[in-house]
Amino acid sequence: MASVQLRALSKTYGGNARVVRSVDLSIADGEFIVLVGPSGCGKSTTLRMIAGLEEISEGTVSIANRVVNAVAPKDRDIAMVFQNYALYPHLNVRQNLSFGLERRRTFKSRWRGLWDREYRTHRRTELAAIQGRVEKAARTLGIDSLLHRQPRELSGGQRQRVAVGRALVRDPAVFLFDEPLSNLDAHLRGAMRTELRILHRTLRATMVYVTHDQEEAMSLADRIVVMKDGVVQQVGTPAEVYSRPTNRFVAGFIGTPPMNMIEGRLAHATGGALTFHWNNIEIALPPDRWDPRSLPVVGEHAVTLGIRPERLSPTVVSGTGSATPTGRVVAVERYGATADFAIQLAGLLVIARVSSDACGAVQQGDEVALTIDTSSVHLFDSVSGEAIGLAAPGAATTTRR
Amino acid sequence: MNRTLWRAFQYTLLVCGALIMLLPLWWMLVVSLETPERAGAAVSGAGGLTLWPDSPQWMNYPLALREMGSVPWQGFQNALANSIVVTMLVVVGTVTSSSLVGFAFARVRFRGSRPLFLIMLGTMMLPGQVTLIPLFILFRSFGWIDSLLPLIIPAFFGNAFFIFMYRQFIGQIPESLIEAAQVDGYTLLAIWWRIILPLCKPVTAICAVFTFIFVWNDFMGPLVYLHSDDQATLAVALNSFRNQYGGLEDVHLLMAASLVTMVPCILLFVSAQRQFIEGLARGAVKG
Repeated sequence: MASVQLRALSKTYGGNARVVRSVDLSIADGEFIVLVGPSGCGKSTTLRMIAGLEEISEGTVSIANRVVNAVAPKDRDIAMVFQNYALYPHLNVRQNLSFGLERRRTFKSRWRGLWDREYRTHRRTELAAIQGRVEKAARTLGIDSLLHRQPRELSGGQRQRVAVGRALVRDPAVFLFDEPLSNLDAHLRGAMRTELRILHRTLRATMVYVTHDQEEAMSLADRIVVMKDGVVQQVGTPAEVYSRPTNRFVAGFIGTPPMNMIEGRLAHATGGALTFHWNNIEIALPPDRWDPRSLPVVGEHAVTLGIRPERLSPTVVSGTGSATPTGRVVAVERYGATADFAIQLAGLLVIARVSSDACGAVQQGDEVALTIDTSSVHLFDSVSGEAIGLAAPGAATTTRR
Repeated sequence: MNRTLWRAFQYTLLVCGALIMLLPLWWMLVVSLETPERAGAAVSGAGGLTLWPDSPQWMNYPLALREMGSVPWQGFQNALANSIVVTMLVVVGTVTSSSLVGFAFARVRFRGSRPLFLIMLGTMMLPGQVTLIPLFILFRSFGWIDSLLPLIIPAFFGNAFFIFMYRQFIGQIPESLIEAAQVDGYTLLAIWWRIILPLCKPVTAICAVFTFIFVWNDFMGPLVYLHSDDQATLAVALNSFRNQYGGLEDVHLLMAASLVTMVPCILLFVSAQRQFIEGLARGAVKG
C-alpha cells in the first residue's frame, strides 16, 4: 500500500483548454478517496494522470513518495478498474484475471523447461502461485464458479466483479476506479457499493475512486474531493462536505434532493440577532452559528440562504395568520419511508423531505406552513458563492434529527 | 402463394447466376479430360463440347504435371515449392506489417500521424504498372533479380488497402482495453500481439485470403523478376505449355494443370469462408 500526493497538478489540451487546474491533494496510505463532480469537471483526467494514461502538463504525481510523472503505467504499481470493465473479450475469466500476473512472470519459456529441470520446477511453482492468487481473488468476489466463462457470457454485475478481481489479483499499491458502477442498474449498484466498502475494509488498500454520483461518493469515501471546472472545491469527510460546504456549488451538488437556495439580505434584529429577509418574509437566524469575522456588511450585501430539504417541515395551515412562511404544495413524490414535497413559496419552488409518518395529512394542492430548522441553515455570498464562515463545530448549534 | 412464387423466382435467378459463374470452370474441366484432338478443336472453334467427355482422359492430369517446365516432374515440383514459399511468406508479411501499421495509425499518438496516413492512402491510387520499372531498377541494384526476394520482401512493408482496413477495425476496439493492458504491464508491441491480433480475426481472414489468392495466381511479378526455370512459380510454369510462337498445342494439359493450381485457393476459401464473410460484412457496416 502507498500514499499518493498530487502537487499543483494541471492538464491542458491544445495549449489553452485547461481541464485540470492546479490540484493539490494528499491521499493517505490505505485511504478510500472519491473524486466527485459533474461531467467535464476533470475528475477522470486527474485519475488518468495518476494512472499514467494521460500526460501531465504541470505539477507532479507521487506514489509512495516517488515522483512518477515520467514513469510508465506498468511501473507505477497501480491497478485500474474501467467504466466499461475493459475485459479482454477473447480470454475467459481465469485468463482475464491472470493476464497482468502473466506479464510479471520470471520463468516464461515453455521450451527451456523441456531440457532444464530446475527451470521447469520454478516455472511450475510460479504458475501454481498465479493460479492460487487468481482463485483466492475469485473466491473473495464470489466468481470462482465463473472462471471458465467468456466475458460475453457474464451479466453486468459479474463482469464488474471480474474487473475488480483483475485489479485485486495484482495486489497493487494503489487501486484506481473510473466510474466502475455507472453501467449497472440501481439495485446492483447499491449491492456493489457495499461489497467495495467491505473489500476496502478487508484490504486496507489505498483507493482512488471517480464518480459523478454524489450518493455513491458519500457512501464509499473516507474523504470526498468535490471538483468543478478542473478546480477542487472542497476536500473533506462525507459528513464535513455535507454539513459544512465551502461554497454554493458544493452545497447544491452534495445531497439529494439538492439544498434549497433562497436569495435575500441580512439584517440585525433586536438583541444582536440576525434576520434573513426575502420577499417580505423574515427568518430569524441563530447569531452564534456564524463566525462574526466572515459575516458581510449586514443590510448591504446580497446573500443566499441554503437549507437542506430534510430541514423543512410542512404542516397544513388550519387558519390564517401563521407566523411561519406559507406556500402551496404543487407536487408530491412518495418513496415509502420518506416523501418529497415541492412547495411554491413566494415565487420560489422549494423541496421539503419529510418522513412518511410525519406528513400523512399533507396532500398536493394543500396550503402549508413551512417550519425551518434555522440551526442548520447555511449562508453564501451571492456574488462569490463562497460560504459565510460557520463558527467552529463545537460552537455551532446544528442538531441532527 | 405470391410469396412462394417470389421465392421460386429468387432461387431460379440465383441458380442461373451460379451456372454462369461455373461455366468457365466446367469448360476447363471438360477440356482437361478430352483427347488432344477434340480439345484443340474446341479451342479453335472447329468442334463443340459435350456436357461430359465420352471417354474421360484422367491420365491427362499426371501427364500435365510431368510436362510442366523443361525437366519432367522437376518443373512442377520446383514451381509448387516456390509458390508455397512465396505465398506463405507474403501472407505472413502482409498480415504482420499491415496489422502493426494499422494499429499504430489507429491507437498510437505520434507527430505526423495524420499526414503519413494520407500519404499512405495516396499510394493506393498508383497503378502497379507505374512503379514496375523503378522497382525493377531498385531490385536489380540490390542484386535480387532472378530470386524470390523481390516477390517476398515488399510484403513486409505493408499493403495500403489492408492497413486501411486494419486501422478502421482497430479504431472500433475500445481504447480502455489497450489502457487496461498498459496498466497490466504490457508494451505496445505485446498489446498488438496479445490483444489486437486475436480481436482482428475477421480482418486477418480477409487479408490472408485475398493475399493468398492474389500471390498464388500472380503472373506479372514472377514473370518480371524471375528468369530461370528453377525459380518459376506455378503461374509462370503454366506458361511452358505455350510453344515458342505463343500458340497452344497441348490445351488439354494446360487446363488440367490450371485446375490443379486452383485447388489450394478453393480449399482456403472454403475453410476460411465464415471468418471471411463476417469480416466483409463488418467492413461494410462499420468500416
